[in-house]
Amino acid sequence: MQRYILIRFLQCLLALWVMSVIVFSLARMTGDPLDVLLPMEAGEGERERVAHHWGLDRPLYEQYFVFLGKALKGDFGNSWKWQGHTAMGLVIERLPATLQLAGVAIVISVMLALPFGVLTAVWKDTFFDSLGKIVALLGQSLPSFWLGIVLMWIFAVSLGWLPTSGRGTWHHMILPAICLGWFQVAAMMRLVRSSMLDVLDSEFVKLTRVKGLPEWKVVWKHCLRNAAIAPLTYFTVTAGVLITGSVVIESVFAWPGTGLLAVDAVRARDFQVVQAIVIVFSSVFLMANLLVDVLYAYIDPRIRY
Amino acid sequence: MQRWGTRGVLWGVAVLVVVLVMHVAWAQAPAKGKLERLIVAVAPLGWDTNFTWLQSRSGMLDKRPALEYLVGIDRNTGAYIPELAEKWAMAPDGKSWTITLRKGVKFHEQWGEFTAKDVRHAIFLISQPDSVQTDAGLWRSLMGIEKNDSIEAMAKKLEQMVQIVNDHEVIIHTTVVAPELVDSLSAKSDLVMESKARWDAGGKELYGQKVVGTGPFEFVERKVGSYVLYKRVENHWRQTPAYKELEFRWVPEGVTRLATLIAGEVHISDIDRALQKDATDKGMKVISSKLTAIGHEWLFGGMYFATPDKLDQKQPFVDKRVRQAMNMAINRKAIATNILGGRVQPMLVTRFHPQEDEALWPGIWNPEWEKRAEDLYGYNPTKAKALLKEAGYEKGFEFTIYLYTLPGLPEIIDIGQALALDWEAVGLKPKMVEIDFPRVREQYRTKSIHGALWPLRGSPNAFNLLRIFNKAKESVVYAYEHPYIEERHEALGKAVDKTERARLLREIGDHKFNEFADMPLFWLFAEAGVNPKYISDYTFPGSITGFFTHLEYIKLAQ
Repeated sequence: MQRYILIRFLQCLLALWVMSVIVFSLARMTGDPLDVLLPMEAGEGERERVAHHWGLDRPLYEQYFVFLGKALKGDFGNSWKWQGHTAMGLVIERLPATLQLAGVAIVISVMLALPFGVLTAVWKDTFFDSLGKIVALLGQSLPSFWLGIVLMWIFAVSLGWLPTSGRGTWHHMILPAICLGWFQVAAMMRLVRSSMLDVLDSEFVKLTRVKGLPEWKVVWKHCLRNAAIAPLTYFTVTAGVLITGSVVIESVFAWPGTGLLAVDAVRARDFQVVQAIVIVFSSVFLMANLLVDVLYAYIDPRIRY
Repeated sequence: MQRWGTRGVLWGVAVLVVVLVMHVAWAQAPAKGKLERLIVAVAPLGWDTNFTWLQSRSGMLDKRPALEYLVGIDRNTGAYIPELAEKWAMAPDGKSWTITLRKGVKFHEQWGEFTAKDVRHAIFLISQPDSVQTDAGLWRSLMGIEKNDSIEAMAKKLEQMVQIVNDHEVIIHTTVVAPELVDSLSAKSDLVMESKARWDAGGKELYGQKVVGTGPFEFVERKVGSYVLYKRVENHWRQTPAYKELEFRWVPEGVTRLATLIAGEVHISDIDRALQKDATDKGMKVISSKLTAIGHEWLFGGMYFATPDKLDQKQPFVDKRVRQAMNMAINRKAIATNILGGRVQPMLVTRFHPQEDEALWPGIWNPEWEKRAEDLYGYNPTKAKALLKEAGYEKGFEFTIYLYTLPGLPEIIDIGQALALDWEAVGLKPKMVEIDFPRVREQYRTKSIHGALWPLRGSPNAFNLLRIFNKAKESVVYAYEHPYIEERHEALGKAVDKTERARLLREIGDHKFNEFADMPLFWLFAEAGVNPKYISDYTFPGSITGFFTHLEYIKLAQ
């Protein structure tokens, strides 16, 4: 097991290095940052002056090694858009907002998906099951920005129950967290339902019923525990997706997290911040995947690599 | 599962949801009473920083409340008015300006009185090697600062060029004639007054923490990515705001900005033109600037008549008849009505403004342009086709239309598509290409944007436009250039007399008008959505990078 974890960890490091090369190259392929940094009337002299100041006049490979050397120490340089802030400092400052939103979205998705998934399996082919299917269908097909705007107009503008946007009290979190979590609710609900259906048909469940165990105990204890392997592994990946995939929701709800930071940084060609975000996001995702692999091997002893 | 038990759980959940919703609704009810914090929702700027020189002019929006300029801008007329300077006068040779400063104006936070030392310091800040401010290049060249000058060398030059007569009088010397320096000293430009004493105490690090000036609002806090908060300065020398606090809140999406305004969470908002009707339908008010703020034009790529080696004679745009035909194929009225809500004024010569430029250079405006505009530029597809035939392009030709959005004018893409239809109607074959604006910048900077049309928008000032867009050398936005214009640029570099400068500028205007140098379209107003429940009057000129200036003069509804 330890060897397996070590190999997977080394693979993660390799993936991270490849990621650093990709993000460094792609950022520069989008064009010259001076065209964003400087006003359009800036002359050639101005361009040379500012390029020299930011080290943009050095060869690309040199810029990469400087970047890599500093990145290994956690230094991604100073931001261009947010002057006076370091790129990593910005990511760290904005990460709690994203974690908070993702955390609430995860809680919402688990709290809804688990009972709904179990109930739709138990009440298969009933009205409740159909309702669950509709929820799943809508959750997976509605674009999150559209859902966000519709919910905002209903609950914030028309009814005035919730704030439209921004971050402050827990009220601010409700709409973005629902939008962010709904897709995952739908996905996870379907997964729980199908796993539960498999387990409900198995012999040991019939045995528990024959033994006279109460139905709630059969369903919520014995069946759910056995049906949890697939949703559990999916949940770990979901956590990674929610943390890294909040770009759209953060923009719609002006939620000051890393997703919004990423959008702003890309628009401003703020290479340093873009690089820091991508590396942090990649690390989160790789760690989530590593955790899934380890969990999988732990839960299912048949799995050995 | 026992049905009754499940039903009970579901009822319990339903009751809990109702209680929560009621609690949230109660908590969200807006508090009644006088407005104490005015909140402005605005799309995030290109920069989010307290440094005034590490961003370009548009980034100043969130710092203006705390800062003041030597010369102010009248919110009704757009005229230059005294602010921190009481008087200003140019020497006869046009190479120095004497400025008399206002006495008794204090910086926020006990940083002392504003004096002549702060004027020199302001020029130092904007001219620093790391400065990317819009006027950085202009000030460096006016002060004679070379590319490789160190900070120390630069400071030494400034000691000579910015002569301190006494605490309240300063003479700014320039290396070349600068008869329009008042514009660069004004709130339309970038020279904000910040405290020298504060710089001496903590330098760049201290400046990064707060925006400190002499304005009617004092900086409280900047939450990067979220908001900037100010509190009013009691008994400010110029204007004490009617409300205690001012907040700029960053809201990236246009629909969300509209929602925040209608929901009463913010009181002024930047509302996209396409959403303005939704705002007014919900009882909001859209206030226009007093003056037209944004000029919009389309440029022909590759018009390098003053650098023949860069001119591609095979390009159809090189033919004046083609340029006229393309101008005459445009149904400007339909575009103005259907895309811009009709709230525009025609632009006859690119960025020559009949009021604002006339105020700076009396005589620059040629009334003939108005008389002849319909004949030369008016919508006439038949004549456009005839001109194309005469030029040998009866079957049309292919060309590229670059489409991208620019701040303040998100409708550019719609306008580009409408133009494409107009040109197709006269037999041309436009190819629309969506592109990132910086990519276009690379092309015009390197004089390689042949055979493409590209849109622009910007503020009025004919001279600024000409020196940036219509100059063959030592510029960077190489658009239309011509030896005739070069001669006049040469003369403008020496002429001091206002009348003479106006004549030279008008001659360039005549040339561009007669040669169909580009496709001038409209002057647009800057527009701000306000909630009339809170705001009864907001007057702003619009000529200072659009809206959200002069916020201290807002009158509240209560």
